[in-house]
Amino acid sequence: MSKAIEAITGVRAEVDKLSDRVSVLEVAINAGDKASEKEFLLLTELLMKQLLKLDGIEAEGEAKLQRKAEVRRVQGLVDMLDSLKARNSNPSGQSGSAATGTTHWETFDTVTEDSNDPSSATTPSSTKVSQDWERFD
Amino acid sequence: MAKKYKGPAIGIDLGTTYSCVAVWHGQNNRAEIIHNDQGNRTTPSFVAFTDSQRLIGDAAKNQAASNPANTIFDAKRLIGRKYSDPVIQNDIQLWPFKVVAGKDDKPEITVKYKGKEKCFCAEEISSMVLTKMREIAEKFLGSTVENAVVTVPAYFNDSQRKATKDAGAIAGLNVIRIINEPTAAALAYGLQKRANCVEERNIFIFDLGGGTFDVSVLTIKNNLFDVKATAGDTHLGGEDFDNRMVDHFVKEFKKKHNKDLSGNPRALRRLRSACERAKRTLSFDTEATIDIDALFEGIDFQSAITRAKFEQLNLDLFEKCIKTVESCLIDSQINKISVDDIVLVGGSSRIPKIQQLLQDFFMWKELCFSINPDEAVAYGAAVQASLLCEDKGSSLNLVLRDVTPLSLGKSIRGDAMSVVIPRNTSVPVKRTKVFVTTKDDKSFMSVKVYEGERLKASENNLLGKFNLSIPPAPRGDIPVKVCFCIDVDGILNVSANEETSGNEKDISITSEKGRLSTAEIERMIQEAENFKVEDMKFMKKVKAVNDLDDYLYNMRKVMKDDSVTSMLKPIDKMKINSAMMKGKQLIDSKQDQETFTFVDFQKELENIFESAMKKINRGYSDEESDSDS
Repeated sequence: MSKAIEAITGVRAEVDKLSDRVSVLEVAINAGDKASEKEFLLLTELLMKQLLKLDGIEAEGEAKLQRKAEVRRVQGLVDMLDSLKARNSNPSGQSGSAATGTTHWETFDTVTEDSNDPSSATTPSSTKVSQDWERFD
Repeated sequence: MAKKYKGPAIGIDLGTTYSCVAVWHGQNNRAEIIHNDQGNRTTPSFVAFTDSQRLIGDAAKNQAASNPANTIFDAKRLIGRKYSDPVIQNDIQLWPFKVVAGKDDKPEITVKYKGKEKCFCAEEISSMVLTKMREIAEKFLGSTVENAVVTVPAYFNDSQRKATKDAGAIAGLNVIRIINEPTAAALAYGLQKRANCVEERNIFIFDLGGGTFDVSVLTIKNNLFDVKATAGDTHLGGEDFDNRMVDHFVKEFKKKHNKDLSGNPRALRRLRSACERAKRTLSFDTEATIDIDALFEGIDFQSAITRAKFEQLNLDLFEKCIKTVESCLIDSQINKISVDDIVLVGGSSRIPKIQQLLQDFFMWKELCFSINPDEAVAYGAAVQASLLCEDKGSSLNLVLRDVTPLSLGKSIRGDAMSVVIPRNTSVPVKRTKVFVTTKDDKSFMSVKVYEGERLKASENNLLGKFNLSIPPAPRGDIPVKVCFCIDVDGILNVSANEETSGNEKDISITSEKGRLSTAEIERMIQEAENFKVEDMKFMKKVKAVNDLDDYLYNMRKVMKDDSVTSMLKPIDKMKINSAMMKGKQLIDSKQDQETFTFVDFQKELENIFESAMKKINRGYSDEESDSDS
C-alpha cells in the first residue's frame, strides 16, 4: 500500500466514526428531538479537520481517486449536518426540511457511486457509508 | 548578577501564538528544547473553556473552530494594556472571543466555563499558558520547576513586563528575570560565539514570526549586552503572506471557473491551509502545487505557484521589512557596515527572498540561522536561566541591559521639551543637565518630567513634577543640576540640586505612576513623526519669542543704568520705552501672534535701540543666554 493510500485509509477510519455520530444525530432529529447547537459545530469541525488532512495528502492515480471520494464523502456529511442544524433550529418549516432532505439525498448518491469503485476493493468501510444512507432513507 | 537560585530553572518564550520552553543541559553544554505531550517543540498559546473542562495548548487550539467564543489566544496583545488603547480596540474586532472593559479600564475576557459566565484578565490567560509550559518541563525533567526566565518583546513597557511577571506568579513560577526576546536570541547566538566576543560586536536581530515582526540592534562587549534600538510591526508576519497567496488563487479560480469562492469560509479555509503548505515548500523549492478536490461547488482546483510569483505577491511587505530594518539602524546610530552578525528568528525568516533582501542590504554579510528560528528565543532564555542558577556553575558571565522606549526630559521656557535621556538609550543610565532660571529673583525652579518625542513638552506624557526652592538671583545666574537616573528595574528617579544653597529635591517614577503602554508609545512616536512640521514651527516660534524676551531683558538692564539713560535723547528714550512696552505686549499675547511678528519686531527693536546707542557712542553686546545649557 502506498504512503498516500495508507494516509487516506487512516482518515477514512476517522470519518467512519464521525459518520456514525452524524447518523445518530440524524435519527434523533428525524424523531423530532432537539440537539444542542454545539454538537453540530463540533462534528462539523472534526470533519473539517479530516478534510484538511485529506488536502494535505499528495496523491496520484488510484490514491487520488480515493482521496477525491473521501473528500466528497466528508463534504456530504458536512452538508448533511448543515441541513440537520437548520431543521434543529427551525423545526416548524416541515415542508422546507423535506426539500433539503431530498437535495442532500442526491449529493449523497453521487458520493456512494464515486467511492464504490476504488474502496469496495480496498476497504469495507464504504459499505458502511451506504448503510448510513439507507437509514437516512 | 548577585542572586543565585536553587533547583532547575527553565527558559520560556511566551509568544503571541506559540510558546516554547527550554532547559540548559550542563553535560552537553547546550540548551534543550522540550517537547510537549503531543510531541511538538512549540505549544499554541491557546486556552479554551468548555462545559466540562479547561484546555491549554494543542488541545485548546484543535477545538478552536468549534468553540470560537471560548477559545482565547493573543493574550500577549492584551497584557498590560488598557481597554481603551486604540490598538486593543482594533484587535477586538478581529477576535472571536469577547473582551470588555473591567476595573481601571483593564481589558477582561468573558467566557462560558462549565455553564457559567466567567471573566479572566490577560495575566490569568498567560499564566495558564505558563503553567502548561511548566508542566511540560516538569514532565521532561522529572522534578518540580519553580524558577523561570520569561521573554518579552523589547518594546514592552514597565506595566507589560510587570503583568508578564504577575502571570508567572499566578502560575506558581518564580520569574527570576524578564528578558527581551532579541536579547535572548542574541544570547543563544552569543553562546556559540563567546570565544571571539572580546571586542565589541554589533548584532542585528531580525524576528519575523507568524503575526508579529520585530527588529533590534544589540551590542555585546565584555559579556555585556546592550539593546541599542528596536522597531517593528505588531501585525505583520507569515499569515499576511498566506493571505496574499489566497487572494491570488481566489482570483485565479474566478478566472478559470467564473465562480467566486471568497464568500465560502470552508473553501477559504482549505485554500488557506494549502497556501501555507505551499509557502513552506517555496522556502526550499522553486515551485509548489495546489491540488484541492471539490474546492467549491464540486470543482477540483489544481494550480501551481512559483517562488518568483510568491515573491512578487509579497514584495511590498518584504520591502516594508527592510525599511523597518533601516530605520532601526538609524535609531541605533550604528552603520550597517559595522553590523557584525545578523541573526534570524521566527519561522518566516526562512523565506529565501527575505534572506536575500537582508543579505543585499547588509552587503553580503552572512546571515546566522544555525539555531532553529522558532526556538532561538527559548534557547536564549534557558541560557539566561542557567546563568542565574547555582547548580550549573556556568563559566559565562553575561549582563543584559534594556533600552528606554521613549525620550525622557524636562520642559523648559516656552513649553519646549529638553531631552535628557534620548529614546533607545540603554538602561541603567544616569544623565545630568544644567538648567537656569528664566526670570529674575524666582524663588523656585519647576521641574516637570515628560516622556515622548514631541518637541512641545505638554504634548508629551507628564510623569511627575516638583518645585525646587532657590535663592533669589537675576535670571540665568543660578545653575540647577537636574539628574535623570534609570535603574536596572526601569525605575526613573529625577533629582534637582542647587549648589550654593544646597537645596535638593527628587521624585521617583515607577510604572504605576502613569508610564505608557506600548500602543501609546507606538502612537506617540508616530504622532511625533506626523507632527514634525508643526513642532518645528512651534520651536521656531518658541525661539523667536525667547530671543525677543532675552533682547528685551538686556535692553531693560541697560535702560536701568542711569549712566546710559542720562545720555539718551528724550525722543530716543521715548521710542525705546514704547517699543519695549509693545514687545512685552507681544510676548504676553504670544498665542495670537505668528512667528514672523516676533522676528520682525525684534529687528525693528534692534534698529531703534542700536541707532539710539550709536548716538551716545556706546555699544552693548547682547549676552547669549538660554535656559537650557
